[in-house]
Amino acid sequence: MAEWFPSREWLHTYRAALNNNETYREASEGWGVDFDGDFVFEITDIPTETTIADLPEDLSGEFRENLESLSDEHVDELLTDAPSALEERMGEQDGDDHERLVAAVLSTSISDIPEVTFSALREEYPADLDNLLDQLEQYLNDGTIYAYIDLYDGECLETTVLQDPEARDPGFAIIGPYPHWKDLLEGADVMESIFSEDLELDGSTTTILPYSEAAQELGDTAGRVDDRYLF
Amino acid sequence: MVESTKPSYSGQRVDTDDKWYQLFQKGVELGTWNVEKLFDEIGFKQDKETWESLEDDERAQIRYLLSGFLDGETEVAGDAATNLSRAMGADCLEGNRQKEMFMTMLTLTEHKHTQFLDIYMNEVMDDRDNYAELDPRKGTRVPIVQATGLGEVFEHQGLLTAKAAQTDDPVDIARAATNYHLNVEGILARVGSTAISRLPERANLPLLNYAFKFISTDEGRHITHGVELLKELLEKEQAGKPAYQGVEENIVSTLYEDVPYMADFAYMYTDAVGDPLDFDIDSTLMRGGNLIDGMYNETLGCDIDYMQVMDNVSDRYNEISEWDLESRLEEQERHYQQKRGVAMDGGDD
Ligand SMILES: [Fe+2]
Ligand SMILES: [Fe+2]
Repeated sequence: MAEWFPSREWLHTYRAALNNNETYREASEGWGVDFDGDFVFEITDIPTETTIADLPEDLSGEFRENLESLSDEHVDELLTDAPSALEERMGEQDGDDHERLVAAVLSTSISDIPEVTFSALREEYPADLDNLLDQLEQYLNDGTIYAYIDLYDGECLETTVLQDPEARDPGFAIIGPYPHWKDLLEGADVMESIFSEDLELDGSTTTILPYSEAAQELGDTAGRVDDRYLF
Repeated sequence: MVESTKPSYSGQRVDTDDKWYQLFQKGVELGTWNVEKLFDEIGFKQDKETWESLEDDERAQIRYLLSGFLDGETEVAGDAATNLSRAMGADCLEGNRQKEMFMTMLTLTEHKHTQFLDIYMNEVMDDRDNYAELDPRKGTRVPIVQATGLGEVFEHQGLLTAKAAQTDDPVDIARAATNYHLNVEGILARVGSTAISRLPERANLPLLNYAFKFISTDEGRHITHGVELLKELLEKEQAGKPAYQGVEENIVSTLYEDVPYMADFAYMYTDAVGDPLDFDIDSTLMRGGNLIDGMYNETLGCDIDYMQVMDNVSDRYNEISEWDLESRLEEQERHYQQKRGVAMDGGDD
């Protein structure tokens, strides 16, 4: 099953792919042994203005159907618990209550979802969407997602998405806007992305030099993970 | 790259619509800053005071950096005046006359850069020998330049430009232009100028900084010339003209050949002296990488294998990490004193 990028699940699959990659293992032998070899991938400029309706059809389609097929009684029931932000948004829509509810929810942007979501509505989220929106709520810091990857002596020991960006003090960081990470996943050369400043490397260049092949594999492996893009 | 401002006048022998004519004109207009006037107007006082207040290791670091420029400017001036000027007349190039005109501007400014550095190092950094008897074009360079690989890049420049002048072959011209205009001017000089522009945070040398603004502007025109020249050759290669086949491959291979020694320059003025002024070898190398990508890849559209670039630099870096730099420098110093002896005995002029 293709994993959504960016997500915790994607990161776990990436870790497994690195650990199954013999070329990476050999090329990164010794990496991090006498220095801090862990990384944070800082994915900045996550397009949080994206609305639920604009998310990929695989995610938004089922949700739309769920909402549209609500009975009128259920809609009335839902609306009794609706937060004021949702009511305001509905006020900007046309049609009956049901139509206005669907339109208001679907036109909500990722960054505004927390203020319109309430538990009764949440039950209508398909599991995939619910999980991803929950992750975005937890992990987005000023439009940035911090993915932590611990690399040590040929292995990827741990991957985690950081709720608190200060929680770890990694030896290296690769920083760049979401579209450039997407380019990388679609096959762009990682060192070219760094030299062209699409992505910024924060860390010792001289430490990385002898590990050019490992760096290449780190990028290429990300490109080979079977993925779907959230944005 | 070159702004096309419509020339006011036209001639019959000189093509005033040519890019190189416009570059020449820009040089005439902007490249005429006067080294002596700069010394008179800005003066040395502050620079000298700062120099005297610096620690020994800080002085060594600035001296290493400027020594790279001193030898570099001397060598580019010499190779432009002779080899490159001649190569600009090659049949395989368009608009020879305008290119030759531009080359006189380039040569003039390179001599001026040499003039500035020589006088500055003599007047301000007067606590050490400036190796006056050395002539880099005869293979003797300032010890730190000769002891590290920077001398290799300049040596390569001499060979490649001489060959280009002799054969007039487009591939040879491409190799010479790559080494000279991309590697030496476009990467080494620009990376070094970045270090100089960061000096005021640590050492207030206003005259040096002021002059380097002029030098960098001049270099900008030289690099534009090089890039445009290579584009011209690449276009002919892409159009399938037989004599031009191999241009791109040779541009790229010239990078692979020079890049390990170019990285020595970063080492030479950072880690080789303990980096007291915090120029930082890591960001210096990264800046070099950015410039490589910008010129080779983005501007010229050449296919660069970054792993190859990194591996070449890495192998060289391993090698120099094993060096006993002190003894290498002493050896060069001895070699210099011998040469100087010969010069004093009248063995040279
Ligand atoms: Fe110069
Ligand atoms: Fe120059």
